[in-house]
Amino acid sequence: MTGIFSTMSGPITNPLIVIPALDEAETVGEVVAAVQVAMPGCTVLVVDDGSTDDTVAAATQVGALVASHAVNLGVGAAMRTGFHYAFRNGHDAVVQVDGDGQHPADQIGILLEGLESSEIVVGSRFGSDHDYPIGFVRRLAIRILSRAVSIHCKTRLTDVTSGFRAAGPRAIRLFASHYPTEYLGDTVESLVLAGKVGLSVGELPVAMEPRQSGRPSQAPLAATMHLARATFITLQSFIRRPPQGSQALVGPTR
Amino acid sequence: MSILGSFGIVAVLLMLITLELVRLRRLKERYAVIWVGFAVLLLLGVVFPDTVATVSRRLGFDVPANLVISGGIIVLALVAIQLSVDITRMRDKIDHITTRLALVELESTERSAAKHIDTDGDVDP
Repeated sequence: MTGIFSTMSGPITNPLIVIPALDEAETVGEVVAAVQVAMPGCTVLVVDDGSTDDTVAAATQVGALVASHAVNLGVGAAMRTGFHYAFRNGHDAVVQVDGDGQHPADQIGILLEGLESSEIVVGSRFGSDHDYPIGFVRRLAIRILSRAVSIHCKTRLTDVTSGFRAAGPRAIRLFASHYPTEYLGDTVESLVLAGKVGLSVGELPVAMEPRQSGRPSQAPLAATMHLARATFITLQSFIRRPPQGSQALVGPTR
Repeated sequence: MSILGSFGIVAVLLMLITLELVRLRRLKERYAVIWVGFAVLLLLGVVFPDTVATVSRRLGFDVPANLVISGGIIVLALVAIQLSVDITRMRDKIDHITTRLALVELESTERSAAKHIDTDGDVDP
């Protein structure tokens, strides 16, 4: 794993794959194994977010490092733990892969290549030949959010709620202490924050599987709730100032 | 019983409950101050009803009790907002503590695993 990919600050030599997992004992082993096949020699960290099933054992068994939250805090907090680990251990890239198996491990390399031109790369479910199955209201929510975040990040994004993404060294430094942990914070607000402090954000189309485990929350009522919260979060993100000290972590804008 | 008497009893009860909670260490000083202050304000209204009546008439209330009730609602709303802010801050702290704890645990398992390899493989004395 040396020098295959490069960022704006030099070649990536030591990526960390972070897999946030909550009660995903059935799928997490397969996900880790798939990542190990796709990215041999790469460190894989499973962040267990307070699971009550055998997620920890399943992940340990296949040889992943496991950091375990004592209480359930949400994906955002799990990712912050991942970024914190990456920062402390000198990793120069973090790729987030969900523990439910919907993110294709064989496309991690594509995201890492994307770090050559942006400091954060989002894997988009749209824009490839595969049309990802998704409800109308949910799709509308994603569209609104994407439009708003695109303005912040001065780029065109289509799928800002995607959790399949890669982050470079400056983003790791920022996210190690300031990854948003609220609802949708792990996806949407993290990009807004990145845009506000001057990190470049890019997007690449990837083919994603529909979820294998967990609830896709396609129910009309749930989807509408999601749309309402998404809209509020979008509005909030426009007025929210970046956390104190976050700008200094990233350094001057290029 | 008169409205005045009821308010007086409520104020005294509020004061007693707050002090008891402080005594039992169930309440931090920060919050005790809020509730004692609230009770004192209520008691002042009971002791000096004429002042309350004058102020409420100046503010355009027909009945003095309306001023007391409106004031109470406003104070309670402010307290609720303050509590939400506190909860948010505490949640942030829990996030950070949990992250640290998870990583410290991971490091200690890594270290003990490494020690195992050392003794098994005779790498280190």
